[in-house]
Amino acid sequence: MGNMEVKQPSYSSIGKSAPRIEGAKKVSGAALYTADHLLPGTVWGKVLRSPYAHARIKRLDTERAKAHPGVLAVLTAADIPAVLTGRRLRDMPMLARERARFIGEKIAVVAAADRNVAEEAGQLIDVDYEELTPVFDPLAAITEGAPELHERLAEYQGLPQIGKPLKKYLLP
Amino acid sequence: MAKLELQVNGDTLDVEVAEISLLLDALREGLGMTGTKRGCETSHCGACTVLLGGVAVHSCVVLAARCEGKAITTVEGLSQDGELNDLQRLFLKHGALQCGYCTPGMLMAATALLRRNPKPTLEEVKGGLDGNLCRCTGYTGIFEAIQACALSGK
Repeated sequence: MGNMEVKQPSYSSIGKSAPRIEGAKKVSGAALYTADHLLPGTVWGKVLRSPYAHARIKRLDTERAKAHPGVLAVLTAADIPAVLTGRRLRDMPMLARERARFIGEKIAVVAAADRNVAEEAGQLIDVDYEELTPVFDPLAAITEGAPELHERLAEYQGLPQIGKPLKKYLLP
Repeated sequence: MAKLELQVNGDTLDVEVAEISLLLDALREGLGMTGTKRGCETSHCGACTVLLGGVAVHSCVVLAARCEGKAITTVEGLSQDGELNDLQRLFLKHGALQCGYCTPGMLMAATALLRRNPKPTLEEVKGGLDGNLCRCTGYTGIFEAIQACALSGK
């Protein structure tokens, strides 16, 4: 048969080390991430969030915050359309309306030309909460008598089509 | 507003910031040096790590006004004449970064570690990076890069 020397094909990438294209920029601090793009006229936002897992918002007064020097705007649910957001089930308002349903839910948002001013103004928003009983367990949540988190649940878009009235799924 | 004179990477720089500004704010927004990253603002993640008088600190909890007269070193100060230093090169070689967001902080913490302990054990490397979190790499490449740097004599 004789000697057969198999010619190894040469590749441009296979079997070769591929340096990270953006590597040098990342280790030198030169790589620009989204927050590194500082454009003139940038406005800074600060969000006031609910400290309670479930609470009624009894009073929400933004007058002191709006009056704080350097504040451009303070928004609450009253200032925006009553749109519910969500990936499939649309159940979350962009800013809490009447009720906070989780710790961290956005209550109000401040805009200012300076990040420190936005932070200070957030602390000038007057909120009175009435704490409500939270529910953290899905089985507890569908038990008769459990706290009702969404009064208008039947109207929400994105609910699974299950063919039976929701009440039938409540555990006794 | 306060006018501060900061020593950054060997240069004397004038910056005007709010009195309550943090060192992180002064570097990023005041001086436009965005290499130091804002990760948590609560001193947990270490993305904001810089050297203050040679000591690694979380710049998100240091007042800028307190830093006058002290040498500040940021990631931008590691390269020499546009050339990456050994630690930076070894980070690239050992896959010590993916998204790269923790990398400036890791490099500064590693620099401080190797300055005070030129031949750290693996445990000492881990200890030296105690104040830095990474969500991408699983840390192994970072440890390897630092140990390789220590072996090569920096």
